[in-house]
Amino acid sequence: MNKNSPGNFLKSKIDVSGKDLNEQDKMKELLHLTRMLRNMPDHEPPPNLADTVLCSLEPKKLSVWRRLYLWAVSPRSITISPVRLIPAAAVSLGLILFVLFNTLSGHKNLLSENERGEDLVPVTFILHYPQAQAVSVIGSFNRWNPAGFEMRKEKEKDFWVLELKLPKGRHEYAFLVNDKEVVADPNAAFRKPDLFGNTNSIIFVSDGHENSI
Amino acid sequence: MDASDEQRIINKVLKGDTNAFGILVKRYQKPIFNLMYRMTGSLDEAAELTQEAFIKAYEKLEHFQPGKKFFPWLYAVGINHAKDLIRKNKRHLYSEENSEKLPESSHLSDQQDSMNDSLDFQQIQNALVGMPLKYREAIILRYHEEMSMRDIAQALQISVSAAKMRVSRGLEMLRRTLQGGE
Repeated sequence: MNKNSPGNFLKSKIDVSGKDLNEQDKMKELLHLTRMLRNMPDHEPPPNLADTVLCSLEPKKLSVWRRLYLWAVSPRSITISPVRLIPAAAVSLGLILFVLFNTLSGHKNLLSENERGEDLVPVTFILHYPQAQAVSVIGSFNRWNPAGFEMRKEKEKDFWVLELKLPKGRHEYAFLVNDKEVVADPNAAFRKPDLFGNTNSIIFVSDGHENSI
Repeated sequence: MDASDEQRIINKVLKGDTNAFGILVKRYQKPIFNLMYRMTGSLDEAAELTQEAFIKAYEKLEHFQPGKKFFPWLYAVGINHAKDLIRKNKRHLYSEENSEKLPESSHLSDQQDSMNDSLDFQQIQNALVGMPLKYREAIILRYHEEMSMRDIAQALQISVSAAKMRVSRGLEMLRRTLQGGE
């Protein structure tokens, strides 16, 4: 048997006498093995793996039922006293009526809200580029057309600013400087190279708060 | 990170906060990457399958049961998806059907005279890849990831008693392999 073969491994460590192993020796071998398994080195994953995964994801859109379910199963502490009981009961009744109302008309309202384009989130684009003459925002939300998306310069701070309202979800964008230079957002958390050798920035717009970039 | 912290993160993700999922990816990318490496024997394929596993878990996140631990669930989703991909693409599965080949990083040196610790790990790694995947994963989860039998059962989608049996048989199988195939 080759001296590097697995067969020599335990024998050289434990069964040096060559005698049959008894139960105690077997237990020692198993303990040694479990220690080795515990300390076995792992490979490090590629450093950009998490970013690559996140760039591939679209934000989740929850149904009303799912939101209600998550609300119901989330842990929370409740303190009840006689003074609070009556208003709490009134609030609970109101919630029940609200849920019933939403159940009857909620889906239709959500759909029509999206269709009317009112389900938009305010987003503020900011670029520090004092030497630029003109800057526009181009992206997947305006078909990469700068017309109407010109940024204004905050003179005192040398920042270019534009407020927009964008649909929820993932958008790619870049800044167009002096109508010729495409500049990625230096503050963007995620970036992605495009087919033309430029780098686009990525924003995930979610509801409930204003996004500033 | 305990189960309630993970549940809070998952709730955020389900409400549309995609970035919160990055916390879970960074937390578990290493064990999942090594799982995939042990399945395929290729670091490149392991990286690709790890990405796919997290994307698949994200897509199925609505089915994650609140109160459960996230890692065993992620493990089950990841390993099932990897097996599907390997089967569909007829890719190489590094397991019992090809136990002769060593993984990229596990070539033994013919000139090596002493059995240092590194070589010991190498021999265990070689013995592991010669074992059937179901036993290999059971003992890795138990002794390397230090998971409970209940979590192993969840990850491998078997009963707790079946998980105990796999761990016990797997360890004995590894011991016999290292002794020279009794």
